[in-house]
Amino acid sequence: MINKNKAAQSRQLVFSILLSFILLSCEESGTVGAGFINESEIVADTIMVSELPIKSVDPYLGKLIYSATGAFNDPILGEINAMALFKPSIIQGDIGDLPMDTKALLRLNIDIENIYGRQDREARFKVLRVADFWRGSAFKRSDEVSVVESDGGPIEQQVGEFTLADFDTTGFAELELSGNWKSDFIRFYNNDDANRDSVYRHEDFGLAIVPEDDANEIIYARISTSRLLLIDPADEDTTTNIMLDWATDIEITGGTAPANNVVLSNLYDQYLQFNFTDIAQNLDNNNFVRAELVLTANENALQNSLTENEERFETPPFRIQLGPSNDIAYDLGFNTISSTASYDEGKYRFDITELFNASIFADTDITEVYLYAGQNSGYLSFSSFFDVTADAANAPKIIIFNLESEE
Amino acid sequence: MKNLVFPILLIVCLLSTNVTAQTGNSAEARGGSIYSSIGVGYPVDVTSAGLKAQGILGLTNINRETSSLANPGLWASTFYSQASTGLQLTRAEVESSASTGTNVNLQTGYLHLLFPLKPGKIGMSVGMYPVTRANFKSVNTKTFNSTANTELEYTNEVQSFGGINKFEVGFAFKLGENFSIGYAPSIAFLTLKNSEALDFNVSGFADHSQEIDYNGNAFAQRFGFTGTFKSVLRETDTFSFGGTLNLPYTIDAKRTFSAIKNVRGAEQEVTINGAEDQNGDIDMPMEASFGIGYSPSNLFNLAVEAELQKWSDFSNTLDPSSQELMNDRKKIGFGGQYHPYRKNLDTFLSGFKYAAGISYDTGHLNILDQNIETLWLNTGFGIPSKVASFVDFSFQYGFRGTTDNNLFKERIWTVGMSVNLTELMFVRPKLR
Repeated sequence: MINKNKAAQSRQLVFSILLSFILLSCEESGTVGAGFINESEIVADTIMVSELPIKSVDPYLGKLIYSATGAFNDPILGEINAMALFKPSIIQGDIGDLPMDTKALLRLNIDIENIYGRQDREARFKVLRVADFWRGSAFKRSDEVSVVESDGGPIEQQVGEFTLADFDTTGFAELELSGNWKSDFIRFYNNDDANRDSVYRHEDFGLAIVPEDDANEIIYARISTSRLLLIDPADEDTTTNIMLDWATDIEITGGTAPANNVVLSNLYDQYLQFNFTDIAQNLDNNNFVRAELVLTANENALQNSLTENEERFETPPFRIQLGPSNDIAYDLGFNTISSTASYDEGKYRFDITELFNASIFADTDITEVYLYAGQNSGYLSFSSFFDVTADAANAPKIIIFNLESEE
Repeated sequence: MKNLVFPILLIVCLLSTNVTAQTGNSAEARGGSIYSSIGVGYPVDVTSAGLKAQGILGLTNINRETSSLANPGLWASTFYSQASTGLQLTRAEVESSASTGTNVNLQTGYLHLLFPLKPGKIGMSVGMYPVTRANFKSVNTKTFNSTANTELEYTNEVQSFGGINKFEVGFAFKLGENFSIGYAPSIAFLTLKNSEALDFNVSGFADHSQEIDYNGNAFAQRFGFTGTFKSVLRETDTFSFGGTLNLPYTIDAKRTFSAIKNVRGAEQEVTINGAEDQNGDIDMPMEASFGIGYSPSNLFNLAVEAELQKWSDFSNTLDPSSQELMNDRKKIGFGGQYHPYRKNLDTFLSGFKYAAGISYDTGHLNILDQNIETLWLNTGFGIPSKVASFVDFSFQYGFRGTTDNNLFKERIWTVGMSVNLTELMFVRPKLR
């Protein structure tokens, strides 16, 4: 009996110590040892960029979220003239034909906050008929359209006019449209032919919002949320028509980039094209954790080039995209972005680690890498960078953060 | 059948813990000595908890209760097939001139099988055991200068795991009444992983991990001898001596560097040019040991043992910097064991065996003119069974290293446990 108790007690002792093993072994390690053991250090190397080749492209400017209209002479970018093109739809709904004396109201939506240029808000804008065929989804900057001025012929062509004072605080104004455009539009609207839509698209060129000659500000119309209201005077029934199509026609002339600078706007009309192949291949012995392209903005020139009452929209987001591209104008707007720059204290920093990794470890072709300004919903903006002729502190460069072993 | 429950549960428990310690992620969350990150790991003294409790390796035949891997010469004297394994939990309070911390490590066990080819005359041993072990992990917070002239912070989890293990098959022969010799050839396997995992706290820097793997193998061999004499000074006493010689061997090793990088949106293991696989030699040192033991009666035994490892001869062409830190390792231990259970008394405390000892180890490292010495105070007890099997526990308290020259001092607590089973556990013993 005594021996059995001794055996049981011994077993209890063994399992108690075993249990202690399991519980105690759950503890974590400490952190003592930094600096004693061999571990890698991060060391930054700088590679100066040898050239900034600028390429031109004919950008698509149709169906942006915001359509610029107005005029302003920016000392750096140049003299800008912009007009917003739009075309209302002719969806009939179930109200039948409209009488010819139908009242047509353009419920125009603009960004009431952001104005490029002088902030006087005194510019006058006209709504005119467009004289040439255009199509928003294919509208390029090189496409030329003209408008028919009110004094250009025997028929009254001015359709409407407005100033910023006509808009409420939410950015909406109801502008009455008149003239022969209205009667033409009602005829299209009442047409019951099967091909009415096709005829309307090809024979009516729509309207344009055009600044008066003395305008010195650019506003941004949001055509997609604007409406055409058609009101029957007899019973005041209202038909609301969305917009069928829209685009922005912009012309920029002149402009002087500051010395040792390159200017990139967000019109997609210009971009920088890099060939990183040689740089990446020279890095294949490096164990790097980040590769970073750094461009320096000429903030001084940007801030001091406007007068006191003038403003620009903030600089656009800058992006990098991997080529090659068969339709660069399209791909800049719709293809996958490889990297978007962070911007801090005048420096644009692009993370190009994945591009270099793809080249070194997966033989990805990086002979064509495009750097461009994002369209930013149609707000017109730009930045001015120091180019390769600038001093070393400001010139474009690539920073490689290498992981170097102490061994 | 009821008698089998305890040993089976014990083995399952031990093996499950061992597996975790060798391969599981949970084991990698623990850390051993910081000094194990140097070279191919810290030398491991593979002894049972019963011998650890005495501060000795078990070179002599003074205590024949449990099998020992330490001296091949001892394997000739076994009469029963035996199996033993063990593990050790270490908790080290680490102190440097700048910081303090705690590392906990569940150390890999060993497996030793001993077969009496001719009971008491010829024995065969099969063993798997660690020779060196690296088991260090540290999470360090570091900074570097960004291009924006700001200091960015990241953490680097540095790990060193693995070491050299041996698979050994050995034989021992009894020569006359008093002597026996043993020879144990083995294959030594090197599997060592040094890894870093960088975790950035800033956007734009992807987490990064990389590791250097050392793999290789070598043929190794060692010899052992022992002499045992009874009734030397009195009728009940026993005197024994024993020694071993481990020949140096060269590991044909391969160094592989790999890093995980984000390539085309997916994490991928890559090889950096200039860091391709390298082949090289790692020369492991000669080892020699000698000990004497004396037992005035079957209730008490004493032993003193010394060991020399010529780590100054260590070289590693794949990591030459580590060999500059190596120093000959000398170790001496003295201890004794008391066996009251042999009196067959009925009191609880008389049902065990007890041990105590002390050992001093110069260590195999000399860093900045400082030997990384270790002083161990040892004690423990063993639980016998009626079928010549034992469960032994050891408790050690040690002081290792120094805080001089920005080095590290470790105050180490270890709890060890080993199980020694004989075939008598499973079959009815017969007279032989």
